[in-house]
Amino acid sequence: MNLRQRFAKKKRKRMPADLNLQITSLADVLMIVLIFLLKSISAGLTDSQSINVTKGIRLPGVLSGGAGKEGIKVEVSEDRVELAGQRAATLYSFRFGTGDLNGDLAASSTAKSLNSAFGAYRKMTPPDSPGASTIWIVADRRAPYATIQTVVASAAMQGYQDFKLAVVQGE
Amino acid sequence: MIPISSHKKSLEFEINIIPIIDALTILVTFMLAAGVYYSIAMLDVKVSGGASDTVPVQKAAITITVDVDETLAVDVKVTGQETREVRLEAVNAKVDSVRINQELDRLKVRFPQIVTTTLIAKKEVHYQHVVNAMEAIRKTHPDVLLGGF
Repeated sequence: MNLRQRFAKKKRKRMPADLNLQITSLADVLMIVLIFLLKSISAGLTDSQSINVTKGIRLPGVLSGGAGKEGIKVEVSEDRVELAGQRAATLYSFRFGTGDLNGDLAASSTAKSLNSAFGAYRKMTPPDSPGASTIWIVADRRAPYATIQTVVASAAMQGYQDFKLAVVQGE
Repeated sequence: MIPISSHKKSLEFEINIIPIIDALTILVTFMLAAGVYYSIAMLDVKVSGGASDTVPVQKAAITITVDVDETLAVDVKVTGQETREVRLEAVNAKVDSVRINQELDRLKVRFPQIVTTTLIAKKEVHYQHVVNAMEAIRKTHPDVLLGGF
């Protein structure tokens, strides 16, 4: 046996027969990740972050925006306008019926339907309750301005004063 | 005499943490999958005119109106002590936020007391573009009134 062979033999280490993984550190890391996730989710359940946006609605993006405390959610999706989860008007590809838009919108069936929905909701809500006069417009970015305008005008007619437009921050 | 060591129970024991790790991994995976990774913000607006006009009517030095049309060109109209109308063409199929901001910034220097701007858009302009114009306005004039009713 020459010197090189003897040296190589000496250097080879014996591996233990039962290889134990150090999983305690893995458990620690997973626990920390879990705590951070729980923290971030619970932090997101306050104020405007708690808005539950219906699937299919793509909110408009902005670079920065403000926060909202309390409000009544009005959702404008492709086929409907919902006030606090209840259908208030029907839309056709984000638009009101063509018959409505051709004539006097204020006298149209859509505007009447929206007005009565906002009016009924206003009567139902105590005026001193938090967010009673604030409307959160949660509308799809593809909706035409005419639709948003009609919804806002109908709410304003019933005395709602503050409007907040829900947007996605950072886009 | 019985040796003490034979009565002594071993204090060393091992917790089986493999099922804990399994449960944690599944929890983390579900939470990552269920998480919402965008932040929702709010833009304040008020309505120009009508029953709910909450902005007190007063003799303002100037009135600023930003009007977005279907081509996404923007007309910035100023009336009052200064009368001016500037047309800002769209850039890359978007409203030109930079130039809107520049134009309003110039007005802000001359009329610092004016904080309100009315935003009007044509019926077919997409909501996203209206919001883009609003965002540009809010940098200099925080009170935005939705107009055209």
